[in-house]
Amino acid sequence: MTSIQHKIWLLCGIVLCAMGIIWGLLVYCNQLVLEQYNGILQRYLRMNEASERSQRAVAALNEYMLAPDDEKRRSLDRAVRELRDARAGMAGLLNEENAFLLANHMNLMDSLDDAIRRTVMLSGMDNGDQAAAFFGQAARYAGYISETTLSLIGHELSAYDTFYRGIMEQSREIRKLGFLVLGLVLMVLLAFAWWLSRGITRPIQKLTAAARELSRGRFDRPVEIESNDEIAFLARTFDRMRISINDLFLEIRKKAQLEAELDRKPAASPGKPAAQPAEPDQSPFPVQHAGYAGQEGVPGRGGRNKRPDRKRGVAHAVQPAAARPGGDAAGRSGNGGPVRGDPSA
Amino acid sequence: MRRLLIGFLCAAFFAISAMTIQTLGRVFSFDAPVPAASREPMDKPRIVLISRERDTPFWRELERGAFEAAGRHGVQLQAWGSFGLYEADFLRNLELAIASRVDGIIAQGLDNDDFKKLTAIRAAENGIPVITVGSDVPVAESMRRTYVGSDHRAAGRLVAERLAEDLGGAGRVVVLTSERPEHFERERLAGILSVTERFDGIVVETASSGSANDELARVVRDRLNAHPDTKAFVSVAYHNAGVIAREIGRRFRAADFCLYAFDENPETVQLLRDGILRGIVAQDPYRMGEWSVSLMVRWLDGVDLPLDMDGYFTDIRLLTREAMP
Repeated sequence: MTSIQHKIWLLCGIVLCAMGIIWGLLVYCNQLVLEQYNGILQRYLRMNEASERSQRAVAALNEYMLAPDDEKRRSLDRAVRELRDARAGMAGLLNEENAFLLANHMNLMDSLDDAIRRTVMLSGMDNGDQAAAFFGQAARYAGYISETTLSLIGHELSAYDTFYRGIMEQSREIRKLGFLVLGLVLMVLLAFAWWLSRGITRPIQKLTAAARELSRGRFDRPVEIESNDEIAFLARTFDRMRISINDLFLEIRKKAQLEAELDRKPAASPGKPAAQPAEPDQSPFPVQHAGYAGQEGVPGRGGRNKRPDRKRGVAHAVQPAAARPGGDAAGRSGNGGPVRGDPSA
Repeated sequence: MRRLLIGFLCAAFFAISAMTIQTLGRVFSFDAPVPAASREPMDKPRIVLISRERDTPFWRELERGAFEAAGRHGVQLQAWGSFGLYEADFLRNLELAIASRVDGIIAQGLDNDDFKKLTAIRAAENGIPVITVGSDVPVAESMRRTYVGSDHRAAGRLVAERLAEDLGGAGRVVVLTSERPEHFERERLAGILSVTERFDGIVVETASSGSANDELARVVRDRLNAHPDTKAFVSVAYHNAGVIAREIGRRFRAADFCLYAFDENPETVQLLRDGILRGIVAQDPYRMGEWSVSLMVRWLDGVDLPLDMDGYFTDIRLLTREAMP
């Protein structure tokens, strides 16, 4: 039995799955793009680092030249080490487009390294003029490195131009995809919700209709609900109730009939029939009674009562008694007597 | 009505599904062209072509030839250059190329001490071969491997022969040089003099002027004031022939003068068509670029050792009005 609860859980599950799929999809796509972005950014950072480190090395060299001591020397050595590290890192940036510039850049860093070394060597040998000349060279080389870094970055930008445009296009596509999937999920959800609500409200409507029929005293209509949930269970119970009531009612009526016959047999005394109008009032279903009485009395309605579904041969009211002209009052009035006269009488 | 609605919703559903699948396909087949990372060593020779006049048609043509040759030989070539005649930028580019330890430098010769120091000491120290192109600097001073370009002495002779013919063997000629005549100017002048000395009637005097137009105009004016009988002007430097012609045109009919130019560019060609210039020396910059790169490659490959120190001369010819289409 798929209960309503199950259906609701199913709905929740579908919503969750859809959300999960959308989320996963978007995160995955973004991740792809982000990784590529990171790769490129890494390149820029490394290029910039090379440029910065060469400037720092020259600054350290300058400090050392101004006042050569051990501490300055250590910081210069550190700067040169960092410069070499940066140079080694540049080798990984090689691609088909930038081979020329990158080779220039790396060689410039080597040249700077040389110039720094020579400056230190010459200043150690008290050769001030030459050391100054090499210092000037080192400073110029650092400038060239910055410049080459700029051209490398510029070159990189134009080399990756199509890529960047692709990425932009891609993010637009992903946004579009998000909306499309949202729309799709929305439609599926709507369809599902419609189906679910229909599965609940339809049987309830049927049940309500059946209850209304019942309240009008028509017990011969089986309550038919095809679903397989709580409502169906309710409907079946309701149907059983209807059958029970119907049986009960038939039984009572039979009894009443029997009693009436018994009453009539002993004497056709005039006092007796006076009790007859009271009889219907004793029935728990006066309306039904009236309807039943009217059944034979109004010939035009007879045809409809001969429906095949009258399995139990129960008298069937076609129309609610209230809607009938005259109604109950007519049944109870004096002139109603002959009309509802028992055919068997 | 209801059926219509359901039909419409179904259609919308399928449309959205189709679009989703399509977009999904596009998103996942995304493959932006990233320059392929190459791990192979950078063993292609790197050659730099450095000029002082990138903006001239002459140099553009030279670059075209150089790049075509570079493509053919599978070497990496970059053209660096400053616009205008900024020597500082040019020398800076040269030093940058040396510090970048390129495999070869093809440079326009610049006849000054800084250039010579860079090529003869710094480039030689780093083992970088230098080829001069277009204009030369004597090998003893620059240690260049070779020179590729016009034979400027021959060009001077070519002009002078035509000049002597136009003057009928007699007349006063002013040869304009720049303030510090470069090697190619001296060569052109020597070429001119080697012809004119054969004619007793031709008097050659030299005047120097910077490349600024007003200075040039002033120098021309001075010469005309000093010697109103001047019959011919020849500039062997980067002088604007149009300025000379205009200055002469203030007093005389410029067409009566014998004016010659050593560089072919749209302006001089127009002046030639107009009958103001008598002749232009046409060089072959395309061949210069092509040849210089080929020679550099041969040098780097060790095929031609040594290169011809005297240089490799490209064709020159004199464009005259009669020869113009």
